[in-house]
Amino acid sequence: MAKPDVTEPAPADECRESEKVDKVINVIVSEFEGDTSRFFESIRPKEDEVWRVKSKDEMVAVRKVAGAHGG
Amino acid sequence: MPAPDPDYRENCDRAIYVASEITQDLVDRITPELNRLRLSSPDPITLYIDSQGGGISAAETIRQLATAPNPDGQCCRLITVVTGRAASAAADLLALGDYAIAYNHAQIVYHGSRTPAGTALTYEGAASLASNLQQTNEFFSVRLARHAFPRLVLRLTQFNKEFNEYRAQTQPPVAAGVQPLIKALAKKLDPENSRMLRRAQTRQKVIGELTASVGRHLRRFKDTSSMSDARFEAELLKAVLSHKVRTHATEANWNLSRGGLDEVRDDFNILHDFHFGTQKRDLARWLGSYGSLFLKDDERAEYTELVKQKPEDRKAHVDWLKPKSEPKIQPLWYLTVSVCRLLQSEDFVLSPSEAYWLGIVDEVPGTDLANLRQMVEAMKPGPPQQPDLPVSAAPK
Repeated sequence: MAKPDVTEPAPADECRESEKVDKVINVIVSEFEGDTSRFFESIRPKEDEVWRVKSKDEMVAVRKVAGAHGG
Repeated sequence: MPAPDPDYRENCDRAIYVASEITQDLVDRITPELNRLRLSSPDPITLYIDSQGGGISAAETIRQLATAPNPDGQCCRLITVVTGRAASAAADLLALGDYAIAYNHAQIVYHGSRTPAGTALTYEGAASLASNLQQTNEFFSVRLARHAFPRLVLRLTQFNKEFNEYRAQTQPPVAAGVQPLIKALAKKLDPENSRMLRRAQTRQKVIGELTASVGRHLRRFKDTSSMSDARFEAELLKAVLSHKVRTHATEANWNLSRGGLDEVRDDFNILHDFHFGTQKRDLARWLGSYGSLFLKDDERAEYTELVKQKPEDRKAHVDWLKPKSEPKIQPLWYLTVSVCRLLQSEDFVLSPSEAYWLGIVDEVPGTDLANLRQMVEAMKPGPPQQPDLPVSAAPK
């Protein structure tokens, strides 16, 4: 199917992308063969741990407390 | 060791609450605080939402105000969080956040634009109103799709088997290629809500069959680019008509005067929309950002090498990706647009995890659903781990 080439850019402000997302995509592609789940598994803390914010620049893996939820 | 990234975290110290009907009154009430937050720092603004909806123009004013540039040209990121219910215009406001979060107990409700009829309607008045509503729905559908697509791509790449098969195809047939991904996605939804995917699936199937059939017809012409638009569309229509007549050849009761012409018109519109509709212009952007995810194994290695050699040359990257990834991105982008059109035209009540799988939100805290925040934070290393941390173990 040829003919019309409708490739004028979409409005730029409607979906602001970020260099941070580009970095994530590059790592998923170059180190995890494009597999998002594998990348995500690689950054999860151990099963009985969750990440907690320690300071504005730092997170630590801490043991889950019974009844608490972790991301 | 990851580090927290405020661009992907809610922050109640820089927050606005939309906790009632979205009206001009609400806009008037929150504008001073929104301006104070926006002009005091370019850090993200969090919009907490618990609303049944309201006016779409009032919701749009809130979004535009929160992200308007300050005198130095800097814009705040908008982080949206549904804390209870986000319905109608509030659901759109949620999805249009630069990063959207749904609390685990929240509810997200979509339906099409509605307008009070007011006085008794004439035929002409009703037709004009219907046309306006359709245009409004279309505008909001494509805009919603633009925000949902980047999220949806990250969801689909989690279906390892189906996604690997999809990207391994040399020339994915539009219909057959996407079906396994749609099926995998449908399993994540309530059966009642998965009807939107079945409908989108049917549309993809029609597009696949029509594209093949019309493509054969157009191959008779050496150069379609020299045709006038009217002539080209006439050839499309002829091809669609022939396709429909062939498809219904064994049905004695099928003919153009008894509904067949409507089918031909609908199919022409679907085909034209898929190949030449307004959503086509977004493809170039998706190609630059997500095209590399759709490469086959051997292509991926070649692409990684190209990026190493020309790290700053985005145009070279996109030109290289276009023939390989665009045929695979386009059906998924069209699927997203189809789903968003349905969300904007019928009633759907979504749980947070359903909204996550459909690309309406990025994160559902307290669940195991992979989210972009954790991925971004993993890329932003904090200070080296100290040996005497209180409770901790190194991450995997």
